Order: sequence, then structure tokens, then C-alpha cells
Amino acid sequence: MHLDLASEVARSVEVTPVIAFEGVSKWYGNVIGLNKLTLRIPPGVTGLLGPNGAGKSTLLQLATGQLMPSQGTVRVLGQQTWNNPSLMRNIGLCPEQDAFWEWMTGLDFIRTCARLSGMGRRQATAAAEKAMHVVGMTENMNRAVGGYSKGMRQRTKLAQALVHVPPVLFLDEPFTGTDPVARRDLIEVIRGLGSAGHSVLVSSHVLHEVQALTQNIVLLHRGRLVAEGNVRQIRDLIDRHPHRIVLVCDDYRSLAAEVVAWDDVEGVKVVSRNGAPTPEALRSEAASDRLPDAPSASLKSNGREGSILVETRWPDEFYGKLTTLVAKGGARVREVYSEDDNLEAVFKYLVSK
Amino acid sequence: MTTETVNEPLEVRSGGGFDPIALSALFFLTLRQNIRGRRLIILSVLFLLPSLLDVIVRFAPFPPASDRLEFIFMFNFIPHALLPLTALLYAAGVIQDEVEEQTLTYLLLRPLPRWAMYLTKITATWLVTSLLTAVFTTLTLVVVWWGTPELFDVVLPMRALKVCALMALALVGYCSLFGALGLLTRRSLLIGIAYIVACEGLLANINMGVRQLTVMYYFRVLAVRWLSPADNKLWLDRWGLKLDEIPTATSCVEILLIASAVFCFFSILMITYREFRMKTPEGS
Repeated sequence: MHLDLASEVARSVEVTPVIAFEGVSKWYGNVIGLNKLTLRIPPGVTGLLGPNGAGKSTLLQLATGQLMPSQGTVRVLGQQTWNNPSLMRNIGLCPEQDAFWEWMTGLDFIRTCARLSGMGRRQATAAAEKAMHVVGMTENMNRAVGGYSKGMRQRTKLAQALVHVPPVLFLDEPFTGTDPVARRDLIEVIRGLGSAGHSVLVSSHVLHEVQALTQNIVLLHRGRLVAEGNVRQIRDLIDRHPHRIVLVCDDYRSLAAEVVAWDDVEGVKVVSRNGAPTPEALRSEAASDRLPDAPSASLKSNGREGSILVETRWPDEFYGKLTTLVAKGGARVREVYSEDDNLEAVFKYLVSK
Repeated sequence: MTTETVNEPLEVRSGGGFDPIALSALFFLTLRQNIRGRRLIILSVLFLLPSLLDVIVRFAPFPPASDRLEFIFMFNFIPHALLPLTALLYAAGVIQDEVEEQTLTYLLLRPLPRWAMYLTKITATWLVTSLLTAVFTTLTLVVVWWGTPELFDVVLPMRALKVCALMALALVGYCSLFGALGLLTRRSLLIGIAYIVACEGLLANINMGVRQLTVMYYFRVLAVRWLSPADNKLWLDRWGLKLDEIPTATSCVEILLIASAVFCFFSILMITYREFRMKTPEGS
């Protein structure tokens, strides 16, 4: 079902689309990945939002020619995407999967990608160094990729998408697993790319991330286009639901004590890493439990490393304070992730509307 | 991190067919991938076995002559077991390894036609397997003929080159066959080993026309044509071949190359029209 955001939609339709899906369906056997999707994405930065399983990755893989549509046509820059190697000069993808040729150094990896794009040795080296500089990896570019942190790996993946300077970029969950500072830096880089004239389609299941990048969003749910247009109106719907954010950190008790005092935090719950709850367990915890009014140690931990689950209705303010805290060295936050149960509720609302 | 962008994005660029720079990069990338990891170490150890066995046999009370040892190790043990196994371990993974390691995306997102990508990778893989085989077969030849005047008069100047060429030719067939198998099924290792045992092992030894469907048959005929001694009764009897019935060396080479081209053609068809779905953490 389409949300009527008339002015924004009208504006986007008037502009020649960079990415165009015409009645596209994609089936995996009996499973529907995308369902009769018609979508035109204009130049600039666009956010692709949806809960897990919404079809975001399928859409990006169709747009980058890795999948063939079961029905309909997919065009990027006016060209069909499937089996079209010449189009690959014009697009870059930062894939979701955390995969590299691990034995390479970061610079070697990016240089190899540049060479595979047809650049000569010197040109490839220069382009790789520049791409690593842009994503803030100059200091670490001569280290083996296998030893990189999650944030460094995300930046390196972004660099390989940039190295051949494509006009169109696809970024699949680029902030997954990054710490707040790296997240802020990546947002700056992506904004810069948009300002420089690149068209960027960023997928995420966290509205806050996308909102920091662009006002233009596309909402997918269960393979269907639910809404497209301005982020603010979607955001108003989402703010009716509390946000749950998981922080993985070294000294979780101190961090919990710190954040619970913030006005915009409604509740904090401590969850332990000792005893090995998996990220999936934490996600489940985030998705299902109601938070207590005050912080509590619902799962006791023997060590200092652990995770806390924060509930807030003002995520912008919370993320801003958290970034400042981390930047000042007040906390060692290793990972931040927000669950999409809020988004799921909004999708249910939109679909039933 | 900087807000500076790499460059202003370029205008929409065309072209993307046969790019020699990109393909040479892919060729060297594949070479580098193939010369690292446990696979090379395991195969090197296996390839040292014939030399070690030869040394052990030499300590026996009545050691066989060098030509007998050569026949056993060079023309039976290595081509029956090690040669196809080497091709299987390398060629079956030429695309499959990239899929399993989820790095194929980085190749599919470059302006490389899929057919050229496959041919480049399989060629690099053939080169690595041929070099690996050449090094260890030469070593085995040296060990087998050690202490005889033939080593420096005949074996090293000519015979080693011919043996390496023969092995390389057989590897063309095996690499193209197992390359296709790797695209056809994820269980290529299991099916490949079954094929090596059943077809290249058993079928090739049955004195029927069907053995002409095996690489081993042409390997043996070429060995007889190019390398067998003047008194080649042992070779012909053991392999069940009759000199006046077997094809010429030229025919054997042609058949091997044509069969390889057919397998490569099927591989190209498969890679061109197949979707490679990379796993995502959420499976979306």
C-alpha cells in the first residue's frame, strides 16, 4: 500500500530516475523476494528501509545485476542490469556480507578491485590510496584485512565500492556492527558522496541511520513497496513506538549508570555476554521483553564485558549524547545496534491503513 | 575519516567487454589464491610420496630397475591418483570457492563478462596445477633415475619435458571437466572422487571401447607414442593396448582438446545464465 506523500513523490517522478523497477517480482522457489515492485529512484541519496526479510538485499542484488528478475525489468542509468558487464563501470556495491580475500592487506584488496575494474597499476594504486583515505583507513591500509575490526572492514568494503568512482552506489546495511564514532564518520562520508554528485541507495533496517543521511526514503515490507517519500512523516509514526538500542561494551555497569541518568532514556536493562548469550539472543531479548522502569541486572554477569539494552523515544538525542561520550573516552562501546521491532510496528500500521 | 570524496563521479561510462587489464588482474589474483593455503601443502606432501617410496624400494634386497620404477610411479601412481586429484581440488573450486567465501560479488561487480571471467580463472588454475605437477614429476624422475647415466643423457634433457607436457595436456582435460563439475554441483569433491575411482581408475582398465571416454586412456596412448621404450611390451600388456589399434598421438591431442573445449563451453553456459546468491546474515 502506498503512503500518500504527494509532493515528494511527484518531485521524484519528474526527475529522470537513476534506478527504475517496472513490475519486478523475484521468486526463490515458493518464496517471494520482491512482489510486483514498481519504483523510480531519483538522483541523490535515497534510503531503503525495511525490516529483515523485507527484500532490501534482493532489491540491491537485482539492481546490481547479481540476480535476474523473475518478472519485470530493472534498469540502472537506463540500462538493463542482468548480464550487463559494461554497466558495472558505473555502479559500486558495498555488500552486506562480511567477506574479503582475507590474506590481503586493505590496500592490496582495494587495489585489486581497482585493477579488476580495468585500471592500470599506477592508476589503481593511486585510486586505492585515495579511496582508503576517504574512508579513513590510511593508517591501517597496510595491515592484513583478516586483522581488521568490524568497523574497519565496513570502511574497507565502502572503499572498494568507491575506488572506480562510479556515479551510482549501492550500500547494503553499511553501518552494521560499527561503533558510534565509525557510524558518524561513515554517515559523513556518504553525505559527502551525495553532495559530490553520486547517486547513493543505502539500505538499512534502522530509520535513525537513514534519517541522518537523507530525507528521501523507500519503505519495503515483505517484498512490497509500502511507502516512499519524506522521512519526517514516517518518523512521526515511528516515534509513537519506543526505540530499543543494544550497546555492547567493556564496562557495561558504568555505561548503564551513565545513560540511565539521561533525560531521553526511559529504561536500561543489563544483559551479559559472559554465559555466552549470542547476538541473536540479545536481539530476541530486545524484540520481546518490556523494559523495567529502572535499570536492573536481569542477567547477572561475572565479568566487565557485556551489553545493555536502552529504551528511548528520542533516538536522535540519545545517539548524539552517546557519540559525545564515546568520543570523550567516557565509554568503550564496541557495537551498537537497533532492532527493527519499532519499524515492524510501523509497517503493520501502514499495511493495515 | 574525511568528508572529501574520491573524485567527482565520472560521466556514465560504456564498454566492458574484453578488458585485458581487468582480465590480467583476475589471472594474477587467481594465481595468488591458488598458491596459498593448505591445499598446496597437502598436494605437495602427496606428490613427495612417489619419491619417498622409490627411496624405500631401493633399500630392498632386489630393487627393481629404474625403468620399472618409472613405469610404476610416473605412469601409474601419479596419473591415476595425484593428477586428477590435483585438478579436482583446484578446478572444482574455481568459482565454488568464491561463492563459499562470498567473494564472488567482488568479481561479478566488475566490468568482466562472465565467460571471460571463467576462462581466465580456469586458465590460471591449469597453469598452477601444471607447474605443481611439473616440479614434482621432475623430482620423481630424478629420484627414479638417480645414479644411472641416463639421468643426464636422456631423462633431464628430453624425457622430463615430454612427461611434463603429457601431464599438462591431461590436466587440460581434467581441469575443464572438474571446472564444469564445480559449477554443476556443490558436492563436486565427493562426485569427483567417485568419478576418479570409477571412471579413470576402473573403467580405463577395462578393455572395451567405453574406456575411450576417459582422460586416462589418451594419457596412456600418448605415453606409449611419446615415451615408451623400444621394448614396450610391459606398457602395452599392462594397459591392454595394441599398438596397431590405438589412435595416433595427434588424434589423442585433438580429442583431449576438443573434449576440454566442450566442457568449457558448458561451463560458460552455466556461469552466464546462473544466479549466484550470496549468503546474507539475515538471509534476506
